[in-house]
Amino acid sequence: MRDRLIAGPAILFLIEAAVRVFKIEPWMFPTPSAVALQWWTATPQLLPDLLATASAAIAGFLLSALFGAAVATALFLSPRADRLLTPFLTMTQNIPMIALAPLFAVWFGFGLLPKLLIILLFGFFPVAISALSGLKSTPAETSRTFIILGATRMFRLRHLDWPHALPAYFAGLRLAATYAIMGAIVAEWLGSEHGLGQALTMAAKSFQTPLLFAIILWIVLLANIAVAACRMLEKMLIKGGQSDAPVH
Amino acid sequence: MLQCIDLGFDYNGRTLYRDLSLTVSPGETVAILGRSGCGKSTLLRQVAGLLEGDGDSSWDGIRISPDLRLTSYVPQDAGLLPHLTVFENVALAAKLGGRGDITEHLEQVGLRDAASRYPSALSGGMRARVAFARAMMLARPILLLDEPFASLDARTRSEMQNWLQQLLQTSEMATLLVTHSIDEAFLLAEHVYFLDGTNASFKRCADRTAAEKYFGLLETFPDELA
Repeated sequence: MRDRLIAGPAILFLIEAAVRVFKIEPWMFPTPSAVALQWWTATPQLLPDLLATASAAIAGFLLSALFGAAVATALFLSPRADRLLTPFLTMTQNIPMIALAPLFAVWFGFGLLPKLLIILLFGFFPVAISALSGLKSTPAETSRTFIILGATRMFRLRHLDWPHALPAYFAGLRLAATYAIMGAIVAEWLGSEHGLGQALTMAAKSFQTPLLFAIILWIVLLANIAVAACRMLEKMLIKGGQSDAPVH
Repeated sequence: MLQCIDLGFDYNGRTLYRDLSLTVSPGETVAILGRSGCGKSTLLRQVAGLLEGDGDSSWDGIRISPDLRLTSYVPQDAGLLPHLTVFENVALAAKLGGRGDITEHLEQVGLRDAASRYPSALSGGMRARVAFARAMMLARPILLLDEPFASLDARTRSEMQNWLQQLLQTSEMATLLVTHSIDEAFLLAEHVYFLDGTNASFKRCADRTAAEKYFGLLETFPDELA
């Protein structure tokens, strides 16, 4: 931790020195101090964009979390649907979702709905796949024990399968949290009145590189806050020393 | 009374056992001895109604099925839920029709002070005790024990066997225990049987010597004890 606290400012100092020594144009690569100043001064005017992106990302993330959990539960409860649909669900991991985003703009225009749908498109699949894999992770012996003890399917889903699935589900949620910010930005690139994605496009078109960096800094911060919030919730909900699940 | 009549089970074309019949009265313990992989656990699952095979197992004439909630079960790994504390694991039995005071049951297994601990913070012996507390909370007429101490070290295993012996002496449950330990079988059970995985047969062991011969001389002198 101490090393990281030293390394961060040291890297920034080296970049600052290099930009100044080699006299790099600010529109090409601004100094970290210029970016910091821009970040500080531009934040009040970026606030509406920040709120637009964050609120859309949160709503889209919640939709992904809910739909992902619902679809995973349905597939888990229906082995036939699982056999039929899960291979397709897994295959979607290989599709660059960003390529599908313009379709939503064509179909639904440029309002909140296409924005939410794009975020859902980005976040739903990792959540559903991780949750399904987690639901299947209950040890067979534990399931057998509770069946013998007379536990119904719903009892096992509530007391065994979902608690066992939580670490994997949260691994999916952490991915979805980052993807939600990315989805919101992509949706705003495609066309929007507000949002950091739209501000990013404007700054790029007018070569306001320090502003561009300041917006990127906000996007990185938002993504980190989202992941940290997921981790906090995970720590609150997962008990008994269940370890972090790998991302599926 | 637990009654098993002509039980039989085939797995992957291999007959694990056939024509297996036994009865266990309330308060009585019957042990089934056998080597690993001979079908002991499968037999317990069939008795519990989890697996379909030949024959029938019934309690007072009623065919056993998990829905009827006639059986308690203690598996090898204790089958505790890792996200619940010791207290919560036992309390969960109340949602499966269990009754009684949870703290009292924990007191009975000597784990009152460990009530707020999670299974990951317990020793193997303590985990087994929690599983027994859950089984007692369920208060079912049949208790099925699937090598409950198999994963314990020799000393803890011996301590737990003595502890269980006392527990079973006061129990009104019909207990069916499967184990590969001759000592455990003869310490805990009134009647001991041997399940022979090589020819799917089921024999009664009159005493320790018979059981030791079944285990040790099985391949060399298969007819000597028939």
